[in-house]
Amino acid sequence: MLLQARQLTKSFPTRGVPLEILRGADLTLDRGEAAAIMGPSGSGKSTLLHLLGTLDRPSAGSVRYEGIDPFTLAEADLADFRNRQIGFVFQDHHLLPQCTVLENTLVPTLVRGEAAQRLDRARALLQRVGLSERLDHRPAELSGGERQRVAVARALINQPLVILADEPTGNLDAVSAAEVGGLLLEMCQAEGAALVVVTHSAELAARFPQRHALRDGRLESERGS
Amino acid sequence: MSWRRLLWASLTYHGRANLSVVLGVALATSVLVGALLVGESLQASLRHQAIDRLGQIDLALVGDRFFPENLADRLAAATTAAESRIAPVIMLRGSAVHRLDGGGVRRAGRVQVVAVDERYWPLHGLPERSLRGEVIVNAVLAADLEADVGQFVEVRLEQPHAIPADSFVGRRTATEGVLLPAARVAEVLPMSGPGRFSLAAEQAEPRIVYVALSTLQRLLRDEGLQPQGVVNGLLIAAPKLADDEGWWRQRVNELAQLEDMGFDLQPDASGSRYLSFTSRRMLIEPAAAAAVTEAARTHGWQAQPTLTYLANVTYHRTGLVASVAASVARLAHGALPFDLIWLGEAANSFTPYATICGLDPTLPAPWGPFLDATGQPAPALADDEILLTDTMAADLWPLGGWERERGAAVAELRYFVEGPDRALREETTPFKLAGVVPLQGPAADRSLTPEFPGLAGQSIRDWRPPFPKSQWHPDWVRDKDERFYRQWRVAPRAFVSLATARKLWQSRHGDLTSIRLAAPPTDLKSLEQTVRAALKPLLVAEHQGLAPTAIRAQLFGWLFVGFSFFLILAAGLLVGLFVRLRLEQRQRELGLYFALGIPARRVQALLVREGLILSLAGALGGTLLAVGYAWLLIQAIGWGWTGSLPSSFLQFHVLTWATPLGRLPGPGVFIGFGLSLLIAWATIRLALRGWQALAPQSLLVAAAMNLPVDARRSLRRTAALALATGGAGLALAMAGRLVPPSQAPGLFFGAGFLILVSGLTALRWWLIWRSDCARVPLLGLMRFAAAQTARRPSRSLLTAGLIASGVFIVLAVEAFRKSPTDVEDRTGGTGGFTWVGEADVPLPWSPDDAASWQRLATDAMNGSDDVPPWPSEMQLFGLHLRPGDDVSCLNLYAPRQPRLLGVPDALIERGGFSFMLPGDATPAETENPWRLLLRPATEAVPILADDHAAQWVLQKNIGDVWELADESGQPFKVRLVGLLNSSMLQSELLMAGRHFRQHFPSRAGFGFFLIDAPTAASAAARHSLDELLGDAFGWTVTSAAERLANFQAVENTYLSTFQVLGGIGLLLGSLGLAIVLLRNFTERIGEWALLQALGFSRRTLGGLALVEQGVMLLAGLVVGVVAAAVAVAPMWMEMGRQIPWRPLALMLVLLPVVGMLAGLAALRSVLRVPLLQALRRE
Repeated sequence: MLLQARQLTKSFPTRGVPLEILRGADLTLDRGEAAAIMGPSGSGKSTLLHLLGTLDRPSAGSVRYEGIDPFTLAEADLADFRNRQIGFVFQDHHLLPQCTVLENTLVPTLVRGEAAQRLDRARALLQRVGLSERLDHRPAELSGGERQRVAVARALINQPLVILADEPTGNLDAVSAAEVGGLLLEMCQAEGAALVVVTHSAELAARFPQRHALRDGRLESERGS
Repeated sequence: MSWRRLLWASLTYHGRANLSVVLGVALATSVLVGALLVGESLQASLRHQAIDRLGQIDLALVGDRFFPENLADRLAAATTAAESRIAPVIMLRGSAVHRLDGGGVRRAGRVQVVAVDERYWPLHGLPERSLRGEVIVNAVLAADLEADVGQFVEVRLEQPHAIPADSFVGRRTATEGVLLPAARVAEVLPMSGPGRFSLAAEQAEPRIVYVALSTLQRLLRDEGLQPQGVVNGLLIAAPKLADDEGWWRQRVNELAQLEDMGFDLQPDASGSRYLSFTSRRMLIEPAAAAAVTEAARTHGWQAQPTLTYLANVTYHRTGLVASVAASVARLAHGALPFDLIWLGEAANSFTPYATICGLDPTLPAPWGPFLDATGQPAPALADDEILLTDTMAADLWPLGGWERERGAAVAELRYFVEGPDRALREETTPFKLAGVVPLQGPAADRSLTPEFPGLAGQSIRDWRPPFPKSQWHPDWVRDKDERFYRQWRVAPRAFVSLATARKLWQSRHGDLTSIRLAAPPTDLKSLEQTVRAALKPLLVAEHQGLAPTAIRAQLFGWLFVGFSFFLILAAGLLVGLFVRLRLEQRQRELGLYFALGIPARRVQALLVREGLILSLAGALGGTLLAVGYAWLLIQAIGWGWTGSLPSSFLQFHVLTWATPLGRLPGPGVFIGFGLSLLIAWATIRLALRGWQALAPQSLLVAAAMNLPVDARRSLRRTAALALATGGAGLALAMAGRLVPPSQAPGLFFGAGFLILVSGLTALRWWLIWRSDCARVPLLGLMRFAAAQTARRPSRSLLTAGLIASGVFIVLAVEAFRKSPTDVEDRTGGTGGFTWVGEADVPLPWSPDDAASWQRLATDAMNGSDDVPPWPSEMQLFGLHLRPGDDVSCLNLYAPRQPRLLGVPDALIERGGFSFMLPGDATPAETENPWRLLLRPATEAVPILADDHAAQWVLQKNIGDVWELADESGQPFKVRLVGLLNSSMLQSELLMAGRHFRQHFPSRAGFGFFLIDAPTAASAAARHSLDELLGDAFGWTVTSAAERLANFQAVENTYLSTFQVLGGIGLLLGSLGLAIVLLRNFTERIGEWALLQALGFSRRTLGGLALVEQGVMLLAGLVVGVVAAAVAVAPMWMEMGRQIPWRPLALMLVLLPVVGMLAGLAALRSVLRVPLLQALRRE
């Protein structure tokens, strides 16, 4: 199994009693599988994604990728793991405004100095997301949908095990949202990466074979068609 | 894509934010480099002045001892390798007088008299010229004297004794100065080149008069003070080997003959029997005597040491009645009419003014043995025996019959010896008659008596003897005495044992007047060569004061870096602030890097490299700006400096180095640039600290960067730090009340600083508590506004800290500002003295009582009846003075030969001033710290100095030992045993008079005076002193309070400079505050729009903004003022210092105004954004 999250629990300290956001969430995914996680605002969707993406540590429970618990790694190894194996797509794209489309796609390759080697892949990815004519443009010159497509290409540049997308279409209009959503599913399947999308968009979630709802800090499966 | 590409893209994209960092670094750099450039300009100005006043002179051989002028020619011939030019000079101190046509007199003291010949002027790049009986003065002296070309001036010089003035044969008349006849002023030199010539390391303008070398040499010879053709200085221009002082000393050592060192080696009258080694200083110095004796022993020469002295009277006691009569006559001397005294004296046979020689009369040829009238050898002399010549015996036994009294104590010698405080005392010693020898053969050797100064002329009555006129009795001289003199001059007329002579007449200057050397069968010529060769290594020229010294002064210039430290600190804080702001702007970017798996160290490296590039750009720009800043600062300093400097003194200079690439900027620029870069880079590194500890997700959502991970733990630590520093500050403040007043300001300043840190730490505690732990709901607009400051604790703290530090510095520095003290307070800076007097021609004794006043008056006024009355209400203390470099803050040069005062025992007992004591001070020394000067001088001579001179100029602490040179150039150790607190004696070092006389015997006169006169009588006392001493001694007097105020003015100028620069730093803090406010408001543009949408009026929003920024402004102000109050309050309460109202008012008014204006301007710009547009950002 590619991804196994067991009894993930996360609580945050407050001025009073600690606030428990996740209370034992479980999730498993294999290569090429895609899951959508829905839930009301404040249910902990983004928190779950941050735990899966090793951006935060669980208060209890575990996350394993192909049997490896990344939280047992040293800090430097954890960063390396995240760089190689996990791709992120954020609601607010988070492109570097000072870099071009092509450069933004290649940013994750800087860690191991592989930008030159990955150049062709970057161009190919951008072609697949329909931005081959915009390689030298900066984020300020792109629409919201185009920026998000760059973010998708960036997330895939290192051929990660899993793509984690946090409300990837949250800031997009319906047409762009549909495009980006479809792109995510298509490219993850083509790359053999697992995909976890957090969304409150029913339309987007409907396109996923696995759907989960986050209620009361736990994931409840809602199998899709 | 590469890291480099990402680096440059980030730099250019965030250009505006980066520009603020660059500007901050540029500002810090311009201040630092500018401060160093000011220091370089100071150095260059001093160097320029030094070069101007020294011309081409590189070395000088100048001292108290005179040597043959031809040493200049011999040295020039021997140093052609150095392409040298050497000019002989006589340099003496003196005073000048111009008698105005309409009556009235203009006097000038501290005049440098330089006697030169034609070789001097080319050393200043001028053509040779000769002065024929005229003088040349410089413009400053001409102005003082109101003299112009063609007018006549008189110059009185200190008396250049060949013989130490305090040996009994040193001149002792009150008017010891040498008066040059009134001479016409041939030229008035401008204040440059020779018009500014001085060997002293001082920037004060000298007063110079040039006279012809031959004129002064002739005068000194005629006065019997020096032989013909001698000088006391050589000025050396050496384009090559100028810096090799050792090389020059070696040349002088090689060339110098005994005569150059003040010794003579002459054959006897027959030219065949022996050589006589003597000193022009009359007594042979013990070191020289030991060297000659050792050489004689080593080479097997025969040596006969002798000591010849002048007896005032030699008596033959003829009986009890006559003895009593003579005793009565002596006692009544001065009270009885002359005739009676003469009769009393005449009742005993006597011989006036005979020389008595101490030697061994039994030595074999060539010096003896002495034979009596029967041809038998004279007996060896016991210590109480005297051997008379037949001429003296005939005097004392006019009727014969001396044989009957052989062995009886019937002979008596009366002679002068030095009493306490250099007063001459007449003593009497009886002798038993050992026998009589004819005045022939070895006993009739005129060369046994050296040339006594003043004992020359056609007759005894022509003598100008070396003791006071009141004690010279030419009327005692009879015709038979004159007859003897004409035939025998001053040949000895009696002999005592050498041991007795040494016991009676030795002094610290020596105990022999000659050492006679013989080595039969060697002829005298060969012996002379052998003796000279043997003495060469033993009598080294530089040990006799013939030591050329390089004279380029050492300078210092880091003072202004110290002044500017707060300004540099403020600029550094501003840089940190801008870096932090920039970092906060890029939070999401940092979060993204983290999410993409880029290691933190990589991201840190990226940010640090960005910072380095910005620092480099800022440092380069700042270095260019520094030139303008330094120029402005120099103009400001020149405008505000105390009047001790000439107005054109300080000029802007940038030192440069000659390189293969051309002239490049010098050390100030490079050091400043490098330091600025280092400071900026370190500041940026510090500002980048801690961001990695923040959770990535909070970075991604751009939450506040300043929240500590564990607020409670941080609160505990902060509280502990605040309490610790506050407690330490209070403890230091309490300690400040227990230490001596002089040490208190430093402790209080330290206490204030700790209170400042404590206050800021407490403020940080409040900010953390407010932002994270406070449970009090924000009900009310004021609380709401105040709480906003806690949203960005680091930013708020930085701003408040900048304000608080600036306020503290500006106010607390006032604690060190000096103000006039009560003149009558003995523990104050004047020591309770009213006047300070200086005499260019040292007084032989100090007129500190009626008798010495009268004696001085009698001699100075040549017996005139118009003697000013003794100011009995006055207490006067005379100190010895060795002129030298001023060690006070008035002198910007590093002193090489400090000015020295020799303190009399009476002043030590009087006490006065307040002191910083050593830790091992005894109770007696604590009660009267002057007693520290009486500590044993076995290892080092104890000295005192003013605390400012010690700290800032000499850079010495209590207990430090270093070397000074005595008057012959030999080093001796001194130890600093105590410090005077902020006294008027800042210009000099002080040692006990006894130690002073030991090391500077020829300076045993009194040149410096402290006068204590009650207010009512002080004017009269000054008038009397002026009348008595004005013309004869170059007397000048200044008020003690004025002297102290001059020193305080310099210190206060330094403080003002520090405050001005601190004030500029404060303005920087205000600028930082304005930028922070603008940033604070701009970040929350949506928030302000929301408040508007909720119905808050613009006026209410303005009020909120004012309260928000006012909290930090007020916090900074309060912390700074409280800390400054702790530093300054004791001065206010106990020492009568004034509350610094002006800077305080400026702080309290200007800062809030600037802050509020900045805040309102920032708010205004934010509220200009259309409401809906602003809301969308929220």
